[in-house]
Amino acid sequence: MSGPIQAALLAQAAPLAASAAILLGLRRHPAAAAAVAIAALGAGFAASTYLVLAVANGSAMAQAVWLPMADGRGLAFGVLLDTLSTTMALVVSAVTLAVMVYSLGYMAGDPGFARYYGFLSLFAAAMLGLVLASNLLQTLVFWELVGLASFLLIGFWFDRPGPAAAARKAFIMTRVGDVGFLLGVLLLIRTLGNATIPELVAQAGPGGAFSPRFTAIVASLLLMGVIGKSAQGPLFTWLPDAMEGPTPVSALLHSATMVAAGVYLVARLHGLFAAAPDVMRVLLWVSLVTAVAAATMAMVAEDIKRVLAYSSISQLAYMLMALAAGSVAAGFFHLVTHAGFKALLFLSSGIFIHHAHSNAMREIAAHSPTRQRAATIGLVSGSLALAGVIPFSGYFSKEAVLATLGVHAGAAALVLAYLGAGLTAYYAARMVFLTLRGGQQHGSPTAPHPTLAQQAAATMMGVPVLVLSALTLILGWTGSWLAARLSPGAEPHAALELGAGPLTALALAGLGIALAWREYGAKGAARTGFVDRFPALRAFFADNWYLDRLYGASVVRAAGWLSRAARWHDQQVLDGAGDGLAAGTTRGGRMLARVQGGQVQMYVAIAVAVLVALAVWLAYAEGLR
Amino acid sequence: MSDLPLLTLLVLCPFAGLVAVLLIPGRYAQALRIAAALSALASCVVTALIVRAFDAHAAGYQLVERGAWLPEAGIGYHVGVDGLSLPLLVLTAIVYLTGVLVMWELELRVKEFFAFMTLLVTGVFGVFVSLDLFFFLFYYEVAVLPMYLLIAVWGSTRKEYGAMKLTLYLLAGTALVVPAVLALYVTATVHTFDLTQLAHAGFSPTVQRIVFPFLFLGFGVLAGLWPFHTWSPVGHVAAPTAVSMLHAGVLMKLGAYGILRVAMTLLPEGAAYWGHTAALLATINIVYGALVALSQTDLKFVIGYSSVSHMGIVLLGLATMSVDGINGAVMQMFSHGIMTALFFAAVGFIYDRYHTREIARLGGLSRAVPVASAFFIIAALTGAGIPGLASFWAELLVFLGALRTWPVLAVIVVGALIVTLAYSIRVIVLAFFGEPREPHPVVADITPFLSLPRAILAAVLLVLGFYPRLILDVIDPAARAFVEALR
Amino acid sequence: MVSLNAVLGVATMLFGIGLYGLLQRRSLVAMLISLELMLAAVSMNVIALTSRAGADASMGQVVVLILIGVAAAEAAVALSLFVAIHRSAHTIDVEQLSEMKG
Repeated sequence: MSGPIQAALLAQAAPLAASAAILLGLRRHPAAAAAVAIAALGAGFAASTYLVLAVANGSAMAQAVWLPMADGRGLAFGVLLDTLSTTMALVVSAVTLAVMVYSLGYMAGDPGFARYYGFLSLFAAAMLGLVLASNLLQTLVFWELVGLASFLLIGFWFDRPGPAAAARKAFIMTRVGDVGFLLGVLLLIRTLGNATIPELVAQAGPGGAFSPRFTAIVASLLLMGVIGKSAQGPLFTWLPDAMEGPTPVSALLHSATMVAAGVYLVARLHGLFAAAPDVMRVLLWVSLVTAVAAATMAMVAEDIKRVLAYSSISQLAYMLMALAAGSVAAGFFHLVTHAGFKALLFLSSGIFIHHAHSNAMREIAAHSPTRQRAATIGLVSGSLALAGVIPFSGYFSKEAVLATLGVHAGAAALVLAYLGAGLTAYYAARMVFLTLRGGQQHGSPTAPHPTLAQQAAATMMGVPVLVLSALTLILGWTGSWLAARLSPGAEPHAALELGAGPLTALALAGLGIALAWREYGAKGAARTGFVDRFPALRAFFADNWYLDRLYGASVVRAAGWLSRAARWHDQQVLDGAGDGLAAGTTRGGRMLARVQGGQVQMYVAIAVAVLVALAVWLAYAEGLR
Repeated sequence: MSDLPLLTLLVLCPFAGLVAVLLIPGRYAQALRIAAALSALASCVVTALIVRAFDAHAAGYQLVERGAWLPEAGIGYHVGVDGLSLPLLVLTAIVYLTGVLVMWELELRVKEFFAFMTLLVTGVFGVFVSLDLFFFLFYYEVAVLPMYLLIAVWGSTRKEYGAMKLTLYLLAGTALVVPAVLALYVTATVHTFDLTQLAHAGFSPTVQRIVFPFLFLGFGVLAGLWPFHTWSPVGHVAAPTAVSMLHAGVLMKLGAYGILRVAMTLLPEGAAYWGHTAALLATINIVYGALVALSQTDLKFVIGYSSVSHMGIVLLGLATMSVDGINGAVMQMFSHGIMTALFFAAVGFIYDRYHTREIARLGGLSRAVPVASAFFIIAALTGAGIPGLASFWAELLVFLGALRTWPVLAVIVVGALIVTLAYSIRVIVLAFFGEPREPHPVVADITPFLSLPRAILAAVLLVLGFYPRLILDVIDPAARAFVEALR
Repeated sequence: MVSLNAVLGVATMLFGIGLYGLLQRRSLVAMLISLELMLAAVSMNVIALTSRAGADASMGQVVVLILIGVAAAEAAVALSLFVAIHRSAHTIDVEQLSEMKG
């Protein structure tokens, strides 16, 4: 077994072992639990770094048979190391590590501290397993485990009704998509005999064994899973609710991990998806509509975490539209930069929330937020990256996405994408202004001197934020490296040329920010947005475009009705038939028992009557003879 | 080692427990418990020896023992084990041991309880090792009949009703099986009850088509086949914890095993002829059971209907008559057995402490009794088909087999996974998360001793969930041979 | 010599009266008496038929003598049972003695 393979196994096994150790043995030892979790993930991070350096091109795979199959060969699981998976592993482990360190401060003193680190480690193991999997079924396994871990993490404060309901919604809604994923994998295994990723990509590509029809069916089934997991199209409403979890969890789930898994899957199987152009067109339009729709929802949200959640949906849509338009490098580039700035935004907002004890932006503004230096820097730089302002990372990656669209997708798509970009700049700026400016100060002007523990906690939370802030300035320059790494053959896109495209995008971003400044930032601004002037529209946006109500009124109600109908049928019809049969038997027995009335004379009378009848019958029969 | 009559010994283990329990006076409750536990432990040891002596690579029956019994009537003592029955022996041994441990706190008529329980297990082991139809049916009845008393005496909610319903349904099933077996005995060219010989008797297609539904429905009743499943949730709810564990964990498997070992082995053409009907009924089982489970209010009813749904997966796997399907079905029997045992063990603790199983009255259990709740949640997640837990692989294989044979049914069944997850998560969120809906007594969490049986079950689910080949490598050669023989 | 038909007719009448009494009377004693009447009718039939059938007539008389003996024994057993029943149930009314009914 070569070094990279061992490193890849270590990267998955270390967090898994840490999780098992914490949940089984260290539940009462928070400090040890955190230490074990961070050490294990540190090992994973080191292994991933090594992998990125070791795997510069080509791919390596090691597999072992995991499941005997009808064809006698069995289904092999293992690790697939190539430029894509190793880069993703690095992003995942880096973000997770930042979140773990941050959580030392954020979650300090929580009664479930150890359990929290156990779940985080489980999540990290599942996510790394997903990234490094060599078999699509293995991907599915870890995909579901990521779903499970996110259920546990979103519902971490399970004794409050909100998180419990949100966790349930997230789990079930992503499962709706996963059913498609599972069917797709089953179909592949049925046809191919296995689901090894390079092989199925090769079979789907030109000269492969798959018919275009089959590829299209599989791709659309797999796409269901992507849409559920990456919170796209009609299946995104679980994500804003998932904000009920602890803020670091939101940072983890929404930056590089759970929701990015869908994007990663499309990148991983890009060969297969590219062979199904119709499906890709569907994905393109789904993601375009999602990008704009989620941006409109972010424009009216009052809760800072919900703004960020909608922005995640919207930004994921940008990644997917780049992939749908044909560029893995651009989509993945945006995934990387987004991982950095979205984690940063969540972690910064977490510091504000920690201080204000509220998620509402206007409430945070009232607690002199700018005194949180690190968080302020983080929020501003993260928002600039989100808005796509040069030279922050988001500008470069979004530019790459838009450039791809411009080349491959046509004008209509480009217009929608630009619209989304402008709205993004608007809601990002609105978030910054609402959070940081113009609140009435009702916190005590001289805050009590923080204790030593509080200072330590602040440091733990501040350091990852500052590191990530610095990264927003750095990650933008990795684009050409990534492009060369991921698709070495393709010519590097010209993101840095300030042509018409980038200027348009920058102008739109500036316009959005300026509008937000007029409405929210400037001295004496009304602090209401233009959408607020149309209450119906505002309600429409704020209520997830009424999708939740639609589901509540249709699918959920229908399921409840169907279930009650089945239950009624079971109790009244099937069980009733059984009971009825039993009751009928009993009643029949009673009726027959009445003959045995205990009256001797009745018995005698019957005996005589029968005898007489017999005698008459015999005589008659005799007479006939 | 190999010359020991291990299979006979295995059946004798619970029987020796029965004798010991009968000899110990009823007032020594602790001695009775220990006797039962020792017999269960001995069963586990013998099972371990069987596993060690078993050659996983060879198909066909192993550790065979034969003896004359009533040669005039074609009845012989014939036991053996193959890859299809071995997992079920292991399952029974595990559930037996954990069941005895779970009932450690029982105080009511301890002697009689363990006497009936050991008798029941004797019957179950007997069915799984018997290769002679006469003994198969004999043990089958031995396993089924003690249920009535176990439920009617030690049960809860509507116990007499549940016990009577269970007994009547199961006897109705027997009433279908026995004439069918006699019909085979009469029509066969060889006058024997020996399964291995009858399998080569070559019944005519007409006979096969007529007799198969009798056997399928007769055994199907015990396996919870729709629409003859209603006895099972009611029986689960009424039964005491260990009996629920044995009942759902092992007894329902007897039905599926009967279909596999008797109906399909003897009547392959009949099975092929009725395959579509069987698959359709199994699909209804899966979807219908999940839907009904979604709106239940009693924890045990949820589990009961989840069993109906999961047994549907077993039946669907059998109905595919493919290697993947049979592999999946047998593994599902095993993992579902362990899973429901864990389910009922977890609920048993909650009911003992809170004296209610109504979801509407519980809530917040994960805060109050975290470890006991964790066991329930593990079982629920297994039921929901989460990877990393044993059932996922079993269901995957069944789906794969079904997708080859009946694509439409497979799609429906995979879609039903949403409902499965929904009812599992619903119970977790309503009963274990959130806040208590009404004031409950302060309850200490489960003690390490009582956790032990539950931890064993959970560990089995996790280990097999991580590495399914541990069990599939045993099943696979036998499943291959089985499917080969079907053709 | 009385005709056979006359004897059979008397015996039938006797049997009918006995049957009527058995079915009609509630008292166990009365029912026993009625039963004895039916038995007497049977005895008459045996006597009459054996004496005319050409066979050994004494055979019929032996059978009837045994019948009378059995009837006497039976009456004794029955009456003692009635006493026992009366002691436990305080009645010998058959309508009320219906503990065995299904």
